Amino acid sequence: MNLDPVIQGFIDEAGDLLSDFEAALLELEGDPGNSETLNRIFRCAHTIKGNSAMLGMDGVAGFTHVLEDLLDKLRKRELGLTPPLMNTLLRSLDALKELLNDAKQGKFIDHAWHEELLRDFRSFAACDDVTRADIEPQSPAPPIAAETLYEIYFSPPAEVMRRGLDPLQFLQALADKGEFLQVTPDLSRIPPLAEMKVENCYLAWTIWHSSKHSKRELEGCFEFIGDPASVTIEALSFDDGQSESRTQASAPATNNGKVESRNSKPEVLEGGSIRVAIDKVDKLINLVGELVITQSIIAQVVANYSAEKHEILAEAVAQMDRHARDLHERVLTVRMIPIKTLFSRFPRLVRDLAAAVDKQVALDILGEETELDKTVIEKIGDPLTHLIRNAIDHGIEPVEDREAAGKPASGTIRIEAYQQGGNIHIDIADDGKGLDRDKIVAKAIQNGLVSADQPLTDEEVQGLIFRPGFSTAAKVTELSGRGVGMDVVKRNVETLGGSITIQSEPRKGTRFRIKLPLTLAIMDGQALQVGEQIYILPLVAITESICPTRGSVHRLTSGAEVIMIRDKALPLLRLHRIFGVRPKSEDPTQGLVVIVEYEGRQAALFVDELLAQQQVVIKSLESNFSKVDGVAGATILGDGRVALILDVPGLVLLSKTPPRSETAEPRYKTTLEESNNAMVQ
Amino acid sequence: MTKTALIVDDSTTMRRMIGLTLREAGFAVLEGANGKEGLGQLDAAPVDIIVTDVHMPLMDGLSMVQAVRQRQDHRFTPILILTTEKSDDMKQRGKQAGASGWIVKPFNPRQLHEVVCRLLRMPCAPSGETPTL
Repeated sequence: MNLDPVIQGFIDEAGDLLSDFEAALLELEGDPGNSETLNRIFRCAHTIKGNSAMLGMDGVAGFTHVLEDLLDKLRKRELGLTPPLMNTLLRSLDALKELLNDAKQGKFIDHAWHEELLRDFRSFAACDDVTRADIEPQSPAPPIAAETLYEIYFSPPAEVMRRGLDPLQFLQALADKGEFLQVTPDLSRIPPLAEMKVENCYLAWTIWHSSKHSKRELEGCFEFIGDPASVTIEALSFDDGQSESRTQASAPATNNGKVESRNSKPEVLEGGSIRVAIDKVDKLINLVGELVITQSIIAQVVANYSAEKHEILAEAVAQMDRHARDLHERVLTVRMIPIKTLFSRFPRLVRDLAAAVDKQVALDILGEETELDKTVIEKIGDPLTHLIRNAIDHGIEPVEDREAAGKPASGTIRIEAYQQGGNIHIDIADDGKGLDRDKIVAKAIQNGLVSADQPLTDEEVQGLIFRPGFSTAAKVTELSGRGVGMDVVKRNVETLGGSITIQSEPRKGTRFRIKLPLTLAIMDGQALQVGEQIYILPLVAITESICPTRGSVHRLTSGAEVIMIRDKALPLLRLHRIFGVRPKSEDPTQGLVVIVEYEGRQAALFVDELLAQQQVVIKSLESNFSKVDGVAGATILGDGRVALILDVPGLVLLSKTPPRSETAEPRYKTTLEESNNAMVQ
Repeated sequence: MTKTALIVDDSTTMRRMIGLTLREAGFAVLEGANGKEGLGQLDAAPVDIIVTDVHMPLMDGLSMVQAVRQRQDHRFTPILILTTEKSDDMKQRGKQAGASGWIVKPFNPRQLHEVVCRLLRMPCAPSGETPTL
């Protein structure tokens, strides 16, 4: 029996259980008497323990076992939930996560904290020392060689059948463990017919049984009777005591053998898995069904084709097209998971951070059902965590300051996720003191980011905090002073194809808004033609396209070109020069310029022509070829040709670097032929 | 004839594991994630044996066992409870509720298979290699 899927399933399930555990624990802090919450916590630990033990994860099982004992005491009110106990429980959660992670990779590491936590548990619960052996499965002891003659008297309780038990099954079990020499029924319990109840068992038996098994093993046959008085087993031969001791001696040996084979079993489960709601899968299956139907229609029409069937064919193809598109969209949703999986980490984070800086912070979470690409969820965790850290450390004021300002003592951080158009927005807002404009400007001047006499709009000031090497914290605090700045947050968000904006009002609070694409795998693009080549520009980056008028293009003394559009000078980038292709015309008035925007900075791209808008599937260039500035990836067009997808932030950056003279080599000698080859490989 | 087993456990892993074991032994398997769902499944098909966990949300295993025994059609259906408590206490409580027997977690699939066969008085497939866990 291959257990790998079960183990993978368990790891997923345990992850959910731990989140629930954590959430319940935090709830409990606010409402210590809630017995339903206590039960929930207990059940989580209980399930993890049972399953991990069955799957041979001894480290996890042993740990949870002790934890469960403690929780049981809590549940039975033998123990009160004190703050130190709360902390220990929370720490044990972290420990469990780590243990599960280890177990996933098939190892068991004896972490130092492990012992320490177990000691804590015991001191809280004063519970007994639990040895690993406690959770070992009871393996049946091997039969011993010598036959023993037993006399067994079995009188099942009258109600035995009402528990779904058949008395004969016990005799059968016994028969499997040796040989019946004689069976004598005992009819003495049978009452007069008038008093007899059909559902009662009145029979009993005396059995002479010859067996190689020990008395204890034979008693095991009657285990489910659950009443020792119903069965007596007596050894008639004299070597009973000896066989007992032999059984005992051989048992540990098998146990050890077993432990070893169990430990070597779990394999590394890399690659990760994703859980998909059944209705999503059903819809996919439906669509595939539709596709198969249209495909067979087409096959049929084509097999006996005649001109008058053209219409049917065209209709079927159109239908198939629709289904294929639908299917494409739906398949992409398979990768989408609720952001809850990420948000559920935050209550704990906020609690711990607030306690560390001695502030009161409440957390509001909204829209946790919002779905996002799994990869995005995995990668957005760190930036969000950083923003929350910042909000608690810099945003929310200490209690005295808040009260002095007439605000409630407890600050609030509100995290909200929602979908808007083709984007997911995540807002992180606090009701703290807001950004301190003067402090930011002073710091920026000190760090040489801006000059003292430069007039700055609010937006520009707020943008400063995203600049590398910027930190206003007067002192490096325990929370934020980790050398990671907002610039890293910003970069991480942008790597995901998203953007981050900030809105802050003094004394009212700060709100960060992260805008993320729904998925990383597909985007709306605008096809552009330059010479023989086609490029794709992300539609979201385009503000407008215009035909330049004569005289609107100017060359600066530096060699750079700018184009005047409505009295604004925008850097002009000739795509043909960047990519080294021969354009239809070198004259901007003979082509088009596409204005792209990135972070409020605009640039004009000179192209030959605009083609259709289309959805494109992004293929990474880096995995097949190499990273090229100004190129985000590639895609395959409907006719099988490869088109490069332009990277707008990269292009805007290019526009800022010193330009080359016109006679210079193209920036990239890379021809599309080369990348074509690379993609084919 | 194919026998049907009802597995009631709030843990997917456990249901999967038991399901896998019993399906391999030729059973049809129904599942429920708690006592309520378990009871609901009884109406779905004739059930020959029930394997249930004790600690579950909404309705625990013992309450479910009691409710099952109230039904005319399941007064004599074998019911196995899964328990991690090794103490006699839980076994006695299970017995009082009307459970036929119990299996202490962690168990090995072979053990479960044997116990189920025994309760149903079916021949247990010849003991092949014991799956390692």
